[in-house]
Amino acid sequence: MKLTRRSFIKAAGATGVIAVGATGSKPMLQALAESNGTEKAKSMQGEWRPTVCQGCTTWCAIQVYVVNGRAVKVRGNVNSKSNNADGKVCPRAHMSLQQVYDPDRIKTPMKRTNPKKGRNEDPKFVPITWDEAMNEIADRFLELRKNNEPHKFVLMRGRYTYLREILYGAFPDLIGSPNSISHSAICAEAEKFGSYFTEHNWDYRDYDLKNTRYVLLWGADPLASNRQVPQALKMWGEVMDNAKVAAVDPRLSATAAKADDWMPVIPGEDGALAVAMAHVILSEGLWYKPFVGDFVDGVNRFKQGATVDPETFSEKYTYGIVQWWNLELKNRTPEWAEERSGIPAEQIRKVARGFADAAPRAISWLAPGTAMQVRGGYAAMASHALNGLVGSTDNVGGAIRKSSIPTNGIPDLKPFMDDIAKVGNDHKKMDQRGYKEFPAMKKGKSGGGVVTNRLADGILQEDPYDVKMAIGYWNNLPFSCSGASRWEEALTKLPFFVHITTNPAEMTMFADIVLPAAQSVFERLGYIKSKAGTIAWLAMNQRVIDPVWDVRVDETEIPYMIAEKLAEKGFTNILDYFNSFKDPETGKNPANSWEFTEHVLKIMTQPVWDPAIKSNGDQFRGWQEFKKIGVWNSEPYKFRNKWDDFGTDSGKFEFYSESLKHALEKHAKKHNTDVDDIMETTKYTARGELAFVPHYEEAYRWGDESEYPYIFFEHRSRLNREARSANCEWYQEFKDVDPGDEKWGDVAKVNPVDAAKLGLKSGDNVRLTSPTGKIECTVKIWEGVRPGTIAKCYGQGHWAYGRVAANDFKKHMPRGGNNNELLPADYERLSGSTARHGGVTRIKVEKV
Amino acid sequence: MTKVVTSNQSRANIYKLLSLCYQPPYEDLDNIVSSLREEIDKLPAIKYKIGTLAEELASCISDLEHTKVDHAKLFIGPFDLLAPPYGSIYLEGKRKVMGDTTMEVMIKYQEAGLKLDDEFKEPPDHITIELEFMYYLIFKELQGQETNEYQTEFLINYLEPWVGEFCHRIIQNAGNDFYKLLAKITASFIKADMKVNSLVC
Amino acid sequence: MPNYAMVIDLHKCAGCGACAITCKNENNVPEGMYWSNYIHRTRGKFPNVRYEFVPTLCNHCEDAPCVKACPVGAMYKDENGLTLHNPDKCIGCKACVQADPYGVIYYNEEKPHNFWSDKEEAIEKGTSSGKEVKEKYDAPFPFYNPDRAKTYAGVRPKGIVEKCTLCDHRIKDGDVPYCVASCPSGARVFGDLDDPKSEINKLLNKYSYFKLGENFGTKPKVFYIREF
Ligand code: SF4
Ligand code: SF4
Ligand code: SF4
Repeated sequence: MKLTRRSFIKAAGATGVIAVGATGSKPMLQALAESNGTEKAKSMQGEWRPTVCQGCTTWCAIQVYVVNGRAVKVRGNVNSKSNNADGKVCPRAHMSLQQVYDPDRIKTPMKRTNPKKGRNEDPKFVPITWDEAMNEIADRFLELRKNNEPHKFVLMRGRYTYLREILYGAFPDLIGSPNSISHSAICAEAEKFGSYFTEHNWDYRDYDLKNTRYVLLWGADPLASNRQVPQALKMWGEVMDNAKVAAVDPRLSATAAKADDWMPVIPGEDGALAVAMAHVILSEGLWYKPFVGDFVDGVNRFKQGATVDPETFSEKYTYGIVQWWNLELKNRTPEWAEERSGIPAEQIRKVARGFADAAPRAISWLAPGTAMQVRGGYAAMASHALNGLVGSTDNVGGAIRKSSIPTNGIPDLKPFMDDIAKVGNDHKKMDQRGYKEFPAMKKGKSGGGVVTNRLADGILQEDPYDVKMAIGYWNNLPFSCSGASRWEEALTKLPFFVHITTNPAEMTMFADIVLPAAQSVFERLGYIKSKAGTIAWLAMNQRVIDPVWDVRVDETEIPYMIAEKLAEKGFTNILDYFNSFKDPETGKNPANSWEFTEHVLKIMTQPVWDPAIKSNGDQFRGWQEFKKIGVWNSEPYKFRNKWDDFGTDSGKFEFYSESLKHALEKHAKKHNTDVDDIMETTKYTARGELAFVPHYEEAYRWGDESEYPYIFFEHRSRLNREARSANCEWYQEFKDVDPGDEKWGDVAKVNPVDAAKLGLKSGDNVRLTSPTGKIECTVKIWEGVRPGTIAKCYGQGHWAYGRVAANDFKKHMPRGGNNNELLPADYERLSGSTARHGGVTRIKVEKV
Repeated sequence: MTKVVTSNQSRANIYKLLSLCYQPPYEDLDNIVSSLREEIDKLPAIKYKIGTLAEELASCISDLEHTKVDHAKLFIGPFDLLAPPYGSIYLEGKRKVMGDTTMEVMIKYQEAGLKLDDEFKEPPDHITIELEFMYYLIFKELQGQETNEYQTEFLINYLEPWVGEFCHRIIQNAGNDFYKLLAKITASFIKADMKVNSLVC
Repeated sequence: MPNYAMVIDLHKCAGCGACAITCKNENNVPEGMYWSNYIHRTRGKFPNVRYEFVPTLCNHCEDAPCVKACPVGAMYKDENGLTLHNPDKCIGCKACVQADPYGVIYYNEEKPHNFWSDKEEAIEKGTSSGKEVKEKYDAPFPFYNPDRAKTYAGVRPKGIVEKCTLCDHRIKDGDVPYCVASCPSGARVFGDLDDPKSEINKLLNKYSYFKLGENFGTKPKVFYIREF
């Protein structure tokens, strides 16, 4: 029945009750009408809710399509202004659906009942309640504190949101442990080393793809990985229309496949190419004079072999160009580099010229492939220094930084730190950072950065002391760290280990207590900061569906619950501190772990959502609106802001790094020695001043060529959600989108020339053996790798994690083999990085 | 009847009556307005704020023709609208981060199982429709459906963000008191409703 | 009536596979079937190697051999030029599968999405099973997309075939096919071949194009422009 206005009012008059009662169950509508079933079906059935994808470190702002409480689809957040604009995401994002609904997720807290640990021990996990779990954990903490050894607790962090400030930041501090150990050094710290010691930027760079005319990729595969994937995917057609692309990569990567020039460098010899390109650019007078400056009389003295008088050159925004030439570049000809890198001199020249011709709109894109090598620190510097030579650093069409993102810290915790904690915090960290052989000079400070992979040795050698208890979250170190077997031993040795995880990961198998974590895309709260295409953003992980299981947010809820238990048992400091986190809007204190989580999030992100605070980007009307939109975008990046003062020791872009010299000298002094000795200890060959300029270092490899004839190198998958997606069916079904790879498979890619020598054909099973480990996988004969090298993608080879990832979960049988069981634990020691690239080991291949 | 139910009835009715007030005025306008006053009187929290305004409103619709002209100038045209009654006009400029708000409200209606009435030829973000939608949601709540969150969401994200400015424009531009008062009532009611419903957090 | 078609710009295509993954997502396609698919190959000798990637899908041929082959009219051309399949009429004889030269029609040999009926647990009582997760939700499987059921069986039962419908359920609502919407590179463009002003016609006028199996006489409506 359709009611007119008139009858509406009449009905009102009659009953005095207008809305209800007058016509029974029918609302009275004029402008709207109830639609019948078919029309309802036509309409959208669900709602797009904002959250974050952390499938890789792009950290995309995304939206999830939710129908009746189920997550059904994923897209980019349409409110994004760069990376995810128009709802774009990379292929990985969609797989998160199969992660959250993965039947192999841990659904309840569990406790180990088999005291024996080891890969082949069944932990005999049994379900326990959250309360039981917290009870046991709290008792362990109290025990440590009672014995004045709270520092013997280690917190191992993996992937994170910025709510890490609680579990990784405040919590160990208040317990009394300095051992908050992050995963960062297995990720890409050596890359930051390159941009830091040239231009004081300890961060990943952004790139202005829109305006660029040349992209030179150093082991970077932006169409598949490396921190702005959707942006690169979206822009690449245009990039290839407007610019030339050269890819330095031992493997025909996704991006190399589309590049103008593929430079299949011999693994680990990237530095030779970089210095040779610099040589070409200088000797042919192609450097960008408005940035670097010129010879006073305009005559180019950079002649091969010639030493140049620094007085003859007048530099502008750079420092040490002549020293760099004299110390390193003068004889680094393309012909010299050809011998080392395997890349024809002509191609080196061509690329160097093309790159410099595009100046300053030329990007030298530094990535882990070139940096995460035993001697990769200087290769990272050299390839990044090319941005200095062509004036593209911080410039239109070049390699830039990110706009600032305003956030708050957490409240001061000092008042809550007791004496036991203070004493505990004064101990050395377990990862041996700052030791003579591990300078780990994050931001120039000896021991300033983490040496993640060394923690295993620290635990095993009890150096600096023994560890009694550990908590790990969002990580899987015995899978993701090279020299993986050391981790299995170290975890076996740990007397008490708690793993907070979504899946029964390899690491979980060594746990005493397992706690189910909220899945990062759909179930948690948190926030991230990222950048791409000149825009920086802050986006929030939000709970867009009811959690599938009884899970908790690792970074905030679990420490809160432990704090509650500790308070119950008499140690109230941590709970007191947590309860002091007031909701910035209502001023209320938290009443439970979830409210606490919300308060932390609101406090930290307040500068972007509070309408009273003016930010350098989107403004919101308040928390509610920000929650709904889900992403804050900065204003576009302002170019050339850093040129006048880069913040280095000289204030300039340093080709001769005073900053590195200073840092190395300090580290040497700390250990009563000189820089040459430090170079030797850290496996570098440079002596004297060479240590202060970007220079070539011969690749460092494990294994003798006669016994291990093949150089092994690994690469990333465009489907890896940081090795957490292998239990997704779609991962396996589409694994062949990685050039050369196979569906459901784990293949060692072998050049046909070598395959013929070895008598191998595609599909054969082989054992790969390095000096430190062996794995089995299948062979794929493929032209996309150089003869003498064997490439394999990282990501498969799980012997746990779930029934899809593993070949046989119950029998611990892996699907293929994990590269990290083959790779030795070695380091780029100046940054603390794990050296997984550059062909760090040789291997032999046997048919099985 | 519990207190909540009573007040929800009044809330529903007020939304509905306000919605009617923004349609072109006819003879029944005084009925609508007096009902509006009655309903406002039933809600102490609101009465104390806008009770007098509602009384005044009831006493100032003597000249219907005049009111019609005013309505047309403010909301219909044909020339520049003095107070365009469409949400998107206000939202697009201000909230550049939002996509197409018009489409979004349409989706909200669809999710609630509604469509636009064929005879009511206005875009989905028209004030009449948005107010009626709120009425509908509260109505459904009274029938036992859980629509509270929807109400909150719609109010916060779609209605409240533009109503203030819209009403301000009416107050600035209206020729007689009727629409000025109506605008004041509308703005205060919606603001108050966000609080009563503890919608602001 | 529109005559729907798709243009795929291989220059923009990055070979990422998002189209293939998301098609499964949108259309509830079971394991082992690929309505949206791709062909790739590596040619040449190191170091002069070319990798090529060609995304594929049902070509919605004007002269569709599968339609001709279907004995019961289950495979048919609709008024918008789409090659569609009626699951109610389908008798599962697989004549279409035989006739289709592109291999884009799949037969449901098993009960689809069996994964979600499985009762095995990785860790007894500590992790769950496909069945247990599924039973928490009122759907054939947890991330089942109900929108698919607007115009086709939401999940196609055992014993009949299934194929790409060019996302007719989305087109009908004014949306583009999901693989087009989710291609991060903007390589896929959907439109009306009979509308001279459509984006696809603009592209086809600007670039030379090719189609798959042009000599099959099928008149495919998926066009490829430029090079990978
Ligand atoms: S996997 Fe990485 S690039 Fe892809 S959507 Fe997620 S965060 Fe973005
Ligand atoms: S048009 Fe739709 S059904 Fe066809 S391949 Fe694309 S996503 Fe799949
Ligand atoms: S989604 Fe787009 S870019 Fe990726 S493979 Fe498909 S067509 Fe190519």
